[in-house]
Amino acid sequence: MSDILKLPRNGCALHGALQTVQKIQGLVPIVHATGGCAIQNYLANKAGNYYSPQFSGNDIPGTAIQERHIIFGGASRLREQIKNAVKVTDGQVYIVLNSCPSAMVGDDVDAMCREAQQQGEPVIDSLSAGFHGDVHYGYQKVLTDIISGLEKLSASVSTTTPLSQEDSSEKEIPVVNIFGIIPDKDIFFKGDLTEITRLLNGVGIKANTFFNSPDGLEQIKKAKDASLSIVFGEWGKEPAQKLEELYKVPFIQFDSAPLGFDNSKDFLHKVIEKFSCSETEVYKKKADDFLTEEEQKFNYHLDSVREAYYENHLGRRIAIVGDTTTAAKYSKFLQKYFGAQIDTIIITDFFPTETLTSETRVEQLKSLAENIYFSQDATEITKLLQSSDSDIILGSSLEEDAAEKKSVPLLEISYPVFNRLILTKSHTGISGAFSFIEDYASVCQKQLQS
Amino acid sequence: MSYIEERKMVTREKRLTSLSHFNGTLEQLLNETEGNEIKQRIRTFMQTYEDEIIAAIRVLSSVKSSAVIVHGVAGCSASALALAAKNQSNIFSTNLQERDTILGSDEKLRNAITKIYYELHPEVVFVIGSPVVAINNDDINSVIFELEDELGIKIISIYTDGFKTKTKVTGYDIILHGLLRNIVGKDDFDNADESEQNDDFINIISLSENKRSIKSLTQTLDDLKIAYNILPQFSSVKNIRKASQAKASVVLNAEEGEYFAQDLETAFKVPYLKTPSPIGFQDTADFILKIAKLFDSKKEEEAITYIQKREEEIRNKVKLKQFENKIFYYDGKLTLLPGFEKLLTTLGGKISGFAINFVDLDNRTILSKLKSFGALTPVIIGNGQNFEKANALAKNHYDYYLSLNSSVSFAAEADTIPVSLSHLSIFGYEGILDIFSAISNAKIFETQKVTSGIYKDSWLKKSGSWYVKNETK
Repeated sequence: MSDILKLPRNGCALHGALQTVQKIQGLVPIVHATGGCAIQNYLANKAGNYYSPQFSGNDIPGTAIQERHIIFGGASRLREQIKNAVKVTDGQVYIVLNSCPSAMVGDDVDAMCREAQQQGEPVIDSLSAGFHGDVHYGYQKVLTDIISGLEKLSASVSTTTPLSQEDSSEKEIPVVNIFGIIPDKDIFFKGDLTEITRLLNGVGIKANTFFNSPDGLEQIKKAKDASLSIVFGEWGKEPAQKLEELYKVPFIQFDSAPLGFDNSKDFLHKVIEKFSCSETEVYKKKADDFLTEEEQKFNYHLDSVREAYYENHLGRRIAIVGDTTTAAKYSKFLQKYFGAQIDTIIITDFFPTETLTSETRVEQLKSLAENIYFSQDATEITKLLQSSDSDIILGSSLEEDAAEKKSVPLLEISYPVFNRLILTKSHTGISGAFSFIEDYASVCQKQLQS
Repeated sequence: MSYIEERKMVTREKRLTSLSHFNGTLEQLLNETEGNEIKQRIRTFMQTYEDEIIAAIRVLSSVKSSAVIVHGVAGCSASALALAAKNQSNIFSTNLQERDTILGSDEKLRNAITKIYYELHPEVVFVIGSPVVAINNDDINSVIFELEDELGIKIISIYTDGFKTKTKVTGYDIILHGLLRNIVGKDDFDNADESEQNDDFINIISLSENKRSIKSLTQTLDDLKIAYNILPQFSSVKNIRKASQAKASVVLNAEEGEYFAQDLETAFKVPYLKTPSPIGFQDTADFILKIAKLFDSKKEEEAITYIQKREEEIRNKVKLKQFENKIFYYDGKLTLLPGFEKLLTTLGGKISGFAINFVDLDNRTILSKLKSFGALTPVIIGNGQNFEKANALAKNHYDYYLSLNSSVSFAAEADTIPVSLSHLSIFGYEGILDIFSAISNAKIFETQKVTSGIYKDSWLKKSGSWYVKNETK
């Protein structure tokens, strides 16, 4: 990993926390930072048309700390901001996100939030200073903090809505929490969560997706009553562990969201196995019925691509640029269904842990590709792609330059994607596989016919 | 007063006592901004806004053959992605980690500059400061002095920090100061030996205008065969350097770039030609004529003919009085307000409330010239601060919320039609067409008729100035 980054694509921890909070309806962010910290994230995401429906851009409450708060401390400014944010903005729970400046001057954010809680205000916090990590880290950190914060809040604040509202009519249907699909970072996150929900519903399981719902905060409150948490990749593990630690909700981890029929089938079977309850056989039966129908549909559509497969040479040598789950998802699908060879994978997320070093991750991923690299630097990534033996690139809009230099097509599948509004499109599961095949086959065809 | 000898540019607050927080009437504002110093105010509830770091990244990365290093955490340069989408991809981050905030980051900066030098061979490297290095007081200058010598390129420190000013325009001052001290008129660049003694061009100083607005003006100048040098946005090191040889300087938005024109006049004897910002029929004509007069009477006559032709053409395309009896809320820059006031009056509308970013000792003169505004016209001063604008829209009837910014959808909650001009041209004749068509086509987005807003009703009923207080020192 190089120190210097050309066009950093992963923002900072504050940005990850903020864009996660922005997608949870009912939750209001209060950014304890300079005026521009949050806007940097807004501008970055806006380039790809990832607009948030609420508390976005100039609407985000923030302390906009000034020099005097750096010199004398900004805790009193934060106190004032919290006090007034709950009066001005309409939300169920408020979450303070700190930043590099407030962390460096040592503002006691936690004390300010406790103080507000003692006054009956639903305010929690997440210490998500930018220098702690990138967007992925911010996602993991803030979700974990929301889970712990809501637990503390339930003890100290009596809200009109109980923190866990069990609906007896829904008790019979098992609920699972979904972690690891990061809002905006997964460019198809809405569609992907919808498809995961569809797959689970197909076997009689309900999904708590948090971000794809008008009652996102309520879903997080109910997460502790779930039967299981499903984690895709590494970044959702910490909040799932927190739920296990606090509420004994077990979790199951997958290296990526499924793509294609076989992976989806495997995914559903593993989830059902993990339930290990008396109803397991019932779910297995439901899964068999559901999957039989899905398989027919999948094979029908896949078969209709066979001429295109030969004519447009879909079994190519491929380079993939994206975070770990993205790389794993597409690699497995392309290898299995198109017999593609994954020449190069460039991983753009890093785990600052001792147990998950680059070496161990290469070991985990080496079955997927011939060459595995780690980089977030646009210059280095371009060079790696140029020297790769690939004839199509799956990556972000930042790889356009490399694709042009190499005269190979680029299919945009990872963040950032510029000037493209994505609402419901998915590249996950079975329906998402159809979208992916459409996109992939189209760029291959366009290249050969132009 | 020239600041060219100063190592660092002072903030707009210190230089011109700029006021960034206000909510009241035009009459109250006129009273508050009298005298030699404008009294400062604060907000006790705020929303996030674009700061001077974002402004610096945007402007400097558009300079050709330059490289921009944002010396900070990767998130401090996240907006680079928005610029990469517009093909400005010369932005780097020193990617500071927690450890660097404790142990310092000089070495990272050194490595970054060296790496960029060998990779891109830029003519100039701009090092943009961030909160982290400012708080740590990292010694950027030692690294720069040493590497300038070693590598033989110009490396310019841009002293931004994100917390010393409340006005984004300070960022423009800082950028322009850096360019004046280090590039304008300097002959220590590789391309300095080229023959550039031609002074038959004008500087057009642009900092925040989009390409569409600029294109609208350059088309006019091209039509009139007037040579121009647009800077610093979308410029080059060579063109910034030759600004000292221009016939005159014109500023597209005086509150942003006037400082540069004034110092060019003081230090390099390039006359500063004061013009209105070219918005609407009258100000566009004034703008063109003032520039044409710089040349000769023939050019002036050509300009008069050109203006007549273009005005007739535009008047055939826009329906005058189209917005008869429509009430507008304007959200933009104070210097551009008179142009919009005149244009909307021509189109039959009326501005009866406005929000601006700041008022200082320089741009305050505009306030007293706003002829069609009553004393009780509601005024908000604030960078962003949509919650107060939502409050103003909820209390008074406006048909349109006309904004130069993005983040406009909140206006629809008050049944006011939002019109964002952020991606459109506002200047020159194409600007008139863009503004006319944007307003004519605007309507409230379907879902906003049924969804609720993000502000509490109790706030929307409160006094809009509730959270604006006098600053106590």
